[in-house]
Amino acid sequence: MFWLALPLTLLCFFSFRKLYQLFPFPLFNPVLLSLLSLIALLVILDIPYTDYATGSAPLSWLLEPAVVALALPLYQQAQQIRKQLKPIFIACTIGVTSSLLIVIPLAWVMGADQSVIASLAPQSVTTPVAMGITQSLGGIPALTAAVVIIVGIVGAAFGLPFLNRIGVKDDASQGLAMGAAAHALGTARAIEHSEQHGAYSSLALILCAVLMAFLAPLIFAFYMLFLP
Amino acid sequence: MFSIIRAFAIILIALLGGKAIAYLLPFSFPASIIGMLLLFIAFNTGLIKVHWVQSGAHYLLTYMALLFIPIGVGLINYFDLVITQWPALLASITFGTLIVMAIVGHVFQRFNPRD
Repeated sequence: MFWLALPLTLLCFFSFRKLYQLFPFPLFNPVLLSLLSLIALLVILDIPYTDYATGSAPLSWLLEPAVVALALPLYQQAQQIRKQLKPIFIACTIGVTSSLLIVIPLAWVMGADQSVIASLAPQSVTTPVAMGITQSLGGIPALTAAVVIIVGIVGAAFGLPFLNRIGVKDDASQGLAMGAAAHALGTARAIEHSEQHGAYSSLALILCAVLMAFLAPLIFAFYMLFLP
Repeated sequence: MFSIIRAFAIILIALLGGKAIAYLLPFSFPASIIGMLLLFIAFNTGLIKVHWVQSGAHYLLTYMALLFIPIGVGLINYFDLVITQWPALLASITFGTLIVMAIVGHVFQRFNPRD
């Protein structure tokens, strides 16, 4: 399985991408379908995840360079963005705060234990930041990694149709919302849509990661005073 | 081919710079985001020309979604947690994500100066 992991992952992604281009329904999201097929395959053939992870490691290595490459759309839109720095900052601060104010009590009401609440709290920001925050809150970083990916898939798959439906129409607002709620996967989807979407999305991705790193420990500690 | 190698080399140098700075910081912060900011600064100061990076960056950005798949498959290790705690996971993932998206989109649309 080790040497098949990479070709299989590529095969899944590119076939589902083709399918999505032919039938662009949100549920045909290529990442979602690839994850489901690969997980099913590992379970059915009883292959340990570590074998798959070792074989597909080259893709994971490229994740950090891809985040660095986001500097490009950011730079190309910098002139435009500079004029709007204040509304961008306000929107991202409100977004991060409301994410924490919604996710923590919601998870608690639904019966999650404290380590799961801590793992869900930073769900809206990019994986490496979210995992670091979870660790400092006493959660389970690996669970956070999985949750963050699913958040990204939900955001990438349903984000743009959802935003259109609720009356958020312009490129900049849509891009910012995708990056703030669905981090790098939302940004990846936004870049496919237009360069302007991508630039605002990557800006929200960075800004929200920084804001979350500061706000999550504060708000989490505040809740822990009240929750049993 | 040369342009792609040059692009990747520049991106990797920015990432290494990010890793060095992240290592020196007193708190944990992702090296990749520092690397992005370094590259952004390099573009702005003219140290790095945009077209040196464009070809390689284009591939990374176009296929970025693919790169998340291996980590996502790791969910396989948490089936037991998912089975016991799925209501909380499902609620916070779906409602959390869509509400945040709606709030950020609407707030920015409200405050954004039209031009």
